[in-house]
Amino acid sequence: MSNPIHPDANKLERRQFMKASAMAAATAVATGTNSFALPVLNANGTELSWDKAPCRFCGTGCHVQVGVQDGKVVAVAGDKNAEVNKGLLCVKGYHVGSALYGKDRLTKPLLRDGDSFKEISWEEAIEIVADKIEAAPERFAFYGSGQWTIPEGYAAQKFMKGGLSNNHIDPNARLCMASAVTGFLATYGVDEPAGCYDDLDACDVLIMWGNNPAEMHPVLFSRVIDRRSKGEKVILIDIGTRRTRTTEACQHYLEMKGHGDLAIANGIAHLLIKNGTYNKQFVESFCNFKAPDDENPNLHGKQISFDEYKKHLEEYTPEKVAELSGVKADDIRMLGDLFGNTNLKITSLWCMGMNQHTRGTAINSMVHGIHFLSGHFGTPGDSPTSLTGQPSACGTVREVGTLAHALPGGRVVANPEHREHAEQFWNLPEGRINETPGYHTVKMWESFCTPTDQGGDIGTIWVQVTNPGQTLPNLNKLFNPKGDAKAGLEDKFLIVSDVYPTATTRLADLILPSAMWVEKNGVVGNSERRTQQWFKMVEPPGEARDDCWQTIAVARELFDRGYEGMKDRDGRFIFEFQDENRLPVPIWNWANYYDTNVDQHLFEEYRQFSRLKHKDLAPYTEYVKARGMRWPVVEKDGRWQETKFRFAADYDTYVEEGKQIQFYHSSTKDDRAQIWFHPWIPPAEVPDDEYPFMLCTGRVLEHWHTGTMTRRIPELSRAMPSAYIEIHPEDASKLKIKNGDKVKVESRRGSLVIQAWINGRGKPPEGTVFIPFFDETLMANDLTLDAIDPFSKQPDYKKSAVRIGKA
Amino acid sequence: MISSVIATFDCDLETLERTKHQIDRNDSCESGELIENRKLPIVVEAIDNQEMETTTRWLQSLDGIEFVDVVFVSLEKN
Repeated sequence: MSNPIHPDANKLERRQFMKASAMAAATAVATGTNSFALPVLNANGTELSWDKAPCRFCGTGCHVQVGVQDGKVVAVAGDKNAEVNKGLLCVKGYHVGSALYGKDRLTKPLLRDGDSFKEISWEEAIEIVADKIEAAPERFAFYGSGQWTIPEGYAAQKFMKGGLSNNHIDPNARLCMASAVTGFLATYGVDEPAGCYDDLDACDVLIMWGNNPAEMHPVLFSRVIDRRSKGEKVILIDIGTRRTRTTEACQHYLEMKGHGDLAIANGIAHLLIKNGTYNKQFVESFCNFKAPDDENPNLHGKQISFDEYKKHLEEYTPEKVAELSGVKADDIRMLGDLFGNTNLKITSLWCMGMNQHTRGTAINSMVHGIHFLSGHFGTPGDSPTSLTGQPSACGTVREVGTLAHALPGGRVVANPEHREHAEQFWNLPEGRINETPGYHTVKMWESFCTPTDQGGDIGTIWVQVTNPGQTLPNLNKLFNPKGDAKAGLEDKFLIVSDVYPTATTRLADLILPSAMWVEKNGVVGNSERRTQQWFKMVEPPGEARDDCWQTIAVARELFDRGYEGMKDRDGRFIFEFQDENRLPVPIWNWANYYDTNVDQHLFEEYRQFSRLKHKDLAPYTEYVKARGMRWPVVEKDGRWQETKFRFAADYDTYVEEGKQIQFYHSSTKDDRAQIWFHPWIPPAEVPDDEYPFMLCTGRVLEHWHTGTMTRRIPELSRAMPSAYIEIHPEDASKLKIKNGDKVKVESRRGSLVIQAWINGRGKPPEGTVFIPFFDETLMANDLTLDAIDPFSKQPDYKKSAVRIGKA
Repeated sequence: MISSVIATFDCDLETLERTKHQIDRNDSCESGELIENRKLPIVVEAIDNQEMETTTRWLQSLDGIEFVDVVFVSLEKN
């Protein structure tokens, strides 16, 4: 009850109460007890209500409890019932609630009017989008991200491939984890990790390949550190191109040159065979050998014998690997010995370092390969595991398949059976889905930025939940021409749905204001195959609306105009959902969008796709009850059970009885995985006399991706206000550059003037520099190379040649 | 703003005691009962997120502390 005479007394009491509650929560989480409740305040007659949601930021998939009061998020707590984070959050937890409340949220649809924008109604905006599509559906492209929720991505996918017969849909995840996908496909025949985060609790050795989880996935890293502080012996090895905070916590730091990982993986395999410590039984029972087919390059290569594999590896002696990678021969021997020790459990972790790589598919396959060759696979703690950077890179991009060549559930447009499945699930006329893959990200934007009369056949792009104007490589080729009046791109039209103004909205022709995170319902899928659900908790500001609604509203506008593709084979709207009386709910009207749970309808429809590749999902209502479940989720004795470890008999119900390990989606149809040999080759661009430094780009702790959310949080912006260039002290000394000096950085593609940071947070070795990409005023991607991996089509942001000098 | 964090120690008892004493002398921190000689719940009070984060980073930098995890955050400013 409030104190009307001394209101400050109320404030004080309430503060004391909050402090007591905060202490109780931390104590309970630290002791592992669940016997505490989050505070329910009673101030001014309003209560604080709590509900679950996954964190908005990275791909770890931490669950938070969100406290809402008076229609506003006022508190956040780690969810003690969540297996991923067990009640803990990283420092981004301070900001996940604040990210909703930046002062410049987009609240009205905006149409370009010369150099500025004018406000228009949603009706006008939807009509404009429909006009652009209707005029030339084949020249339209949809560009999304791993921040699309599963229902949002699924709706976009169905709209494009099922409605417009157009496969030009691709996500920003092409830029961050496409090589992990092709690595899994080339190795297992099916995408996504076999293991999960439980491996971190069981491993004896954790190897981070070009990965900085202490800053990028801190909750996972603290899970390992916690084991060590309990007295457990865990060997941490950081294989990287610069020292980071992860390095500080590791017993071993192996500093390599760019592409050194290819040589290191071959060096480990060489030693396993030379020392006779490879796992013969595992290899003979469960593996084949593969090498690239140079005459006919393709993802599945050509089969080779063990002897051929051994012969390929002969030259990768520790000394040769040391020369190629920069890592000492003795350290290569140490890795060989660790992998050769069957008493240890070894987990490998990686993220952008191995994925943003012009041989990304190769190095992903090779790391899986050394786990197979050594038999470090199939039991908890023995696993090669890739991490993702976005909350639904796995759930939406990889599982829903919002990629230019894919259909939901691991299907591809080029396969007639897969197209038939999708046409049946979507009740579409036969032949509706186009068999030709659409344009991947780099090709899509290159075509958009090429004049139509010069072959640039993408005319309109609709961007949702991402910021390509900052994240595409080689921006002066792939994005910036849109803003150049002399580029001949007057007929190109850019539509951007977002929550804040960004580098992409700057060049947009139409801006659509979007709802974010707990302003809408959602379902996402994290790095360990865990599907997570939440409900809308607060209203979006102004006229901001759900991305999914925007897609459905445009689809409906086209349907109302008689566009054939928006009808199913019975003539009904492709997004028709019925209420309990079997009457269609007009969800295309914003006022009616939440009359039914659109997410649930879309998820249940999508769920049908999940069985083919054994990525089975449970009914939506099961996810409402859980803090996520890892697929395949299988119904057994009336209960839905998740799967922690795939392909291993003790854990995966799809492994046939009597088999210990079964790669049941093997590309060679014999239940075996593929161990790949790939040769070391140098990066696409290497330093030379003209451009003598190697530039690596990446993220920082304070800002998530392009900083569109975190740079609007004043505290974070003050803590890390602008980008910088990390330079080795010796290089800085030679160039007479001091800390804080302005440095001109030039590549063959662009230039940048940026402040120097010597002996800063990260420490690059001599000859290399690092620039984070979060700062839209200092675009690191003006410098980067747009060379891509031949199979994943993912660019390499880690190795661009530059020259530097005092500005 | 009020938050609570857990500092995880990985050090000898002497370092732990010395660091705990440092934390106790910081007015914006209130430490709870040390659990299993390695986990210390701490309530942090601050004017805004920046001060909160600065304090958390300070905790992270102290001798013997391996990691600081966040548990609870009230976004209301004091």
